[in-house]
Amino acid sequence: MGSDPIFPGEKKMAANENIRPEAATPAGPIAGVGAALITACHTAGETLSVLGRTIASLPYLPFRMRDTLNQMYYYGVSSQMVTSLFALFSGMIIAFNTGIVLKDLGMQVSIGSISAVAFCREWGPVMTAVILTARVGSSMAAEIGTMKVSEEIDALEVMGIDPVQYLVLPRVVTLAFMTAALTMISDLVGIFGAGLVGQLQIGVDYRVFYNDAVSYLKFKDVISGLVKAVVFGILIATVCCTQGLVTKGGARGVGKSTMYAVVSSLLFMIVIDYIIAKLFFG
Amino acid sequence: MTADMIHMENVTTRLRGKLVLDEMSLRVKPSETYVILGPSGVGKSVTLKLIIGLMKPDSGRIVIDGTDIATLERRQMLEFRRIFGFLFQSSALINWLSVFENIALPLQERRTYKESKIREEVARCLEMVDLPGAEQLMPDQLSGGMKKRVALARAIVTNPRIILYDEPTTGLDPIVAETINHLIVRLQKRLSTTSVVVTHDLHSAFTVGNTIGLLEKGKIIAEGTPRQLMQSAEPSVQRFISVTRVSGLSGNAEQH
Repeated sequence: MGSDPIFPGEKKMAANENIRPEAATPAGPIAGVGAALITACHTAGETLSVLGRTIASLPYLPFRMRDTLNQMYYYGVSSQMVTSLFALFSGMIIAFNTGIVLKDLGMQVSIGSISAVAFCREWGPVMTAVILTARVGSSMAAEIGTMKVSEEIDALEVMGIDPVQYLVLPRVVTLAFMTAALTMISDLVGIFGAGLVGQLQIGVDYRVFYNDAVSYLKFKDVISGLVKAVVFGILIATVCCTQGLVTKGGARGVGKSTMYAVVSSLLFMIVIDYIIAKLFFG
Repeated sequence: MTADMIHMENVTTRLRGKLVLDEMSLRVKPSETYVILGPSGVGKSVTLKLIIGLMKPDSGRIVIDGTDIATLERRQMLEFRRIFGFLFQSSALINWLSVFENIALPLQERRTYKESKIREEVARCLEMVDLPGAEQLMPDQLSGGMKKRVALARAIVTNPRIILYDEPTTGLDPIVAETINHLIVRLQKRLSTTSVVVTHDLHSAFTVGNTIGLLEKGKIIAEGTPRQLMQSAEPSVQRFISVTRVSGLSGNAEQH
């Protein structure tokens, strides 16, 4: 057996030992930074371990299709309204703020290209991922965390069922797919919102807006956004499921795991966002 | 001489630096119901988790049906655990699955039975635990005793060779606890599996056990049939029995 501390039996007393390094009260600011770094490294290590196991479980995906489709409906489809609403108003805000400045400069026709590029490259995937982290990731961490503290994860293990294959794999596939799908919808709705404000408040005809957006937007812009969305989806699901699996204690432990899950997902996401942007456009 | 079904040899385990099991040894024969008796916090549940490989000992050997479980890789361990049924203290039913889905889960995961056969097996097990027709209920619609019985049905649905019971009567009222005790005895007679029961409930121990081991200070300090244990002159045995003695115990002990 490996050295991974997440699963029962993997390491001595893994089920009961202090898995998440609860750094002792730091003696000073430097010790505090050190403790935070150790915690971050542990979280990253645990997450990578679960990601590795999830990838190794991919051949079993056909057996988990029913679960995966249920998850897609439960988490993905039901998130569509909120991401679309958010995208609509975000598009309107971008168009309104940039439109006012561009109008002063006499460049308001560029509002289409600016909105389209901002949404496809950055705003669409990031906004969708943030909403899914809050709405879905936290729910996954709390759900799996509750299963952990009520011995349901142990129950799966003793039935010979791999919790990663049974719980994590369908969730990772779901979020990878649904983040991309919802990002595409958000891009369209957001650009529509920007066009609406352009037409009604900035005075840019929708045909001019459309032509500017289409002429400037490149395939690479759309693809980079979708790649980000897929990576964010995998990241959110893996981080949140991992935090659920390492939960200890009772209700307080579940709350703590959920908090770690959301904060870690957002932090990792913003770092990866920069790396992907650099790879595509650097 | 029959080989032991479960053999723990000089097993030492620490939890957060605290010694829980101190070179503990234990032998369970096939088809025997072995009860590990002891007060709370002495490592009874830890012993069960060690037997099923949910924890690893610091030192010592655990041999199950001739296999040293320390030699098994994670995947092999998952496969190997299929010879076990495990009744958790908290029942540990998957909360979003119905009674049917909970009991059917281990069978569906093995993909050896057709759906119709799985339905038959689930119905048979629910019948055995006196809950016929409860398939469609959800865990939150069940009382504590019903949850235990559903969990027991899930533990036996795969026809395991070894059943581990973690505090099967804890938290139940005396009548339901008695029902669970009799269910364990009845299942034992019908299925002839090897069973290990951990409990601090003296009455339960004397009702279900063929052999009882008293766990204290990380070791089995006394072992024998219920009658032998009742008659033991060992001071620590007498102390435990006198402290936890409840009415009617002698009568139960006489049955064994």
